[in-house]
Order: sequence, then C-alpha cells, then structure tokens
Amino acid sequence: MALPLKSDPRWKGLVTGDKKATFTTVPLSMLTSRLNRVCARDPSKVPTAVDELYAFCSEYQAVVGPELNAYFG
Amino acid sequence: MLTTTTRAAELIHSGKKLLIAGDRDLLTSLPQGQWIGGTIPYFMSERGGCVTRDEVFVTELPKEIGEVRICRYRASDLMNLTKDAFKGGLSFIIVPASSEAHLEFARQAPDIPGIFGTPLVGWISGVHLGDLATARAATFDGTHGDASAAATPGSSHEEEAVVMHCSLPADKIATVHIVNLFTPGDGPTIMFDATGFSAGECTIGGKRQNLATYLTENGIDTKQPLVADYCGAMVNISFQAVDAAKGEVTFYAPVFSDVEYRIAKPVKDYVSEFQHRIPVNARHCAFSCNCILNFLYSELEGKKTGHIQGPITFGEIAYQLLNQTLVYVSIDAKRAAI
Repeated sequence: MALPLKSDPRWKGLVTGDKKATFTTVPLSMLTSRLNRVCARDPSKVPTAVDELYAFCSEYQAVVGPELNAYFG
Repeated sequence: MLTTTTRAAELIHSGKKLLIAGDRDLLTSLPQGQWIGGTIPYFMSERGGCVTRDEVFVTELPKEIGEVRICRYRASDLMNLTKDAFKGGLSFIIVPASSEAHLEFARQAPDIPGIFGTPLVGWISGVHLGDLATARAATFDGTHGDASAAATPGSSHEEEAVVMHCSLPADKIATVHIVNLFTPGDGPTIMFDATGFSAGECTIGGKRQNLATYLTENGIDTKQPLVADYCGAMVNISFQAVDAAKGEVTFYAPVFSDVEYRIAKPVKDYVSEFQHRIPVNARHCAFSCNCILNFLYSELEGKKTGHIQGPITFGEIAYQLLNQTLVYVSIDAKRAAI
C-alpha cells in the first residue's frame, strides 16, 4: 500500500501526537516521539516535522510500511 | 566469543572486521586492523555471565558487511556522526563512560541530523566496578595502532567515541532490537524542569515535589527505573543514587525536560523474567550487549543467556543512550526484516 499523500491531515496528527501512535520499529517509534516533543515545544514546526517523518517513511517504506498501513488503516 | 588476545590477533591479521571488548592492557596489546574496541571486564559469553581481565570478547562481523569506515568523534563532533555513515548500512559505536562524548551523546543523540536513517547500535565502555575511583573507560581504534590517543597527539581516547560505519548489500537490512523488562507503572507521571543526569525538585502527578523525598517516603525500589513511552519504544532511565539529605537523585542517563516518565511496574522475579525475555532464536544477530545493571540485578554471573552474547556495558545504544536493556542488531534479507 502506498503512503498517504503528505498533505493528508493524518500525518499532522501523527507528528503532533494528537492521534496516539505505538510502533514496534525502534527508529520509527523514536523519531515519532521526538517529533511529538518538537511540535509540543513549537507548533510552528509541524510542517517541517511532517516533511521529516514523510521523508523517513518514504525512504524506509519497506521496513515501516506494515506498521504505517496498520496506523493509517 | 570470549577468547585470548593471541586468537584475537590472529583474527585481526586475517582481515576480519571485529568489535572487541576487554581489559585495557589486553586491548592495548592488539595489532592494527579493522577493529574497534572498548574497555570492560564483564561479559555474557558462551560460558555464561562472567568477569575476567584475562580474555577479550570478540564479535566477528558477518560476511554481509562490506566496506567499513572507522571514525572517532569528540563531543563537539558528534552532531556530524551520521555524515560518515553508509547509506543503507549500519554503524557500531562505542563511547567511553564519563567522557564529554558520553554526556553529549546522551543529551543530543535524538537531535543528531539523520540519526534514525542508519541503524546505530553500540555501548558505553566502562571499568571494573572496584576500580571506579581510579580507572577510566576507554575506546580503541584498531586502524591507528594501540589506542586512539597514540594516533592523534593531544587527543585522548578516553574522550572520543569510536564508530565503525559499515556498508551492506542492497538486499540486506540491519534492524535494531531492544529487550526491555520494564513498562511504565500505574503511579503518577514525573516531569523534570531540565535535561540532565540529576534532579531535585520536579513535578510528580502535577504537584511540585522533591524526587529524592518522594522515592524515600514511598519506599520505591530504585532497581525499577524511570520509564518513558517513546511511541512504543520503552526507554529506561536507571537510578544511580538517591541522596535524601541533599534532596538529589542521580541517573545513569539523562532525563529530558519534555518527556513524561513513570516509575516502572515492579518485576516479580527479575531473574526469570529477564531470562524469559531474552530472544532464544534471534535471527542473524550480528552484535549484542547487555546492561551492567541487568547483570547485577538479574544475578547473571554464571548464568547462560542462549546465543545472545557480548559485552556487559555501562549503557546501551540503540540510536540513543539506554539503560537496563539488552540491545542487539540483526541483519536480514530486506523482505524478511519485519
């Protein structure tokens, strides 16, 4: 399954932590958690956080794809 | 494998790519080659948990590892660590305990640009617990002779992290795994005012309180670490000391000011629970390490932990500094990695 478009609001929910995510892939968990903290400190960073997470998930889709599919449904 | 320096030297001379842990004098005696090392006398070996200054633990990297690039980083260079990594590869890191590099890595690792793009796994080198007051942990760079200090006059290997960046074939992928006994307990959340290795006043369950007083008054067993839920990855912060008189608690890794912690759920039988969680059939384990606190609290000396073997450490690294965990990295075919 292809990733949702970067403009999909669910990416914003993921980086802000508005929709709680739990992953088993260590770097995806740690990166998402870091971005949650970055966005909590400074909400203006949400767009760049989405960029960073989307770029990571695009590059490592072979690894994180199943978990993202479960998250995005 | 735990082996003699003679055998380790043979492996180095044969061109193997190696990660080596052991006593400082033994590591110093090894020849140049494609290896990095760190000081520690505690190991999980094929003979079980053991303490020795007479042998070194050698991890021979698997045949899938291609080109390697060995680099050293002082604290001020750590933010550049990922620039030297191979795309699609993995990196092994060893950091000397109590060095500026240790403190800087602990605080800054999550913010190193691209840190989550290449698997980074490793450990904090240490010393025998009986030598804490007199000895310093060190790292070794095998490409530059006896010790990294010998290669760069004026710099000290006691202050430098050493990293072996490794390439992998396009059809292989490295995956970092964390084995952690602990999950956040049902107690109040704990939030800290500042990032650091110690804390006094903090916010516990929404109220200002001194952490040392809280731990003492509630009779909390400090073998149970603080745990934070990083979107599914449980990250522990272990207690080093509680000074109720000074009102200060010290930790083995920094607490972060913007992370919510809880005291871990009690573990009923630390020894059996830990041994139960150790993966029996971890696929293609290329390297593993285990925390000195697991070694002590789980009473692992003399006990076997299957084929998951490696140095016992003063901290584990899985992208960032961890405490009270076992960390290992596997190398798999890409489609079978998950």
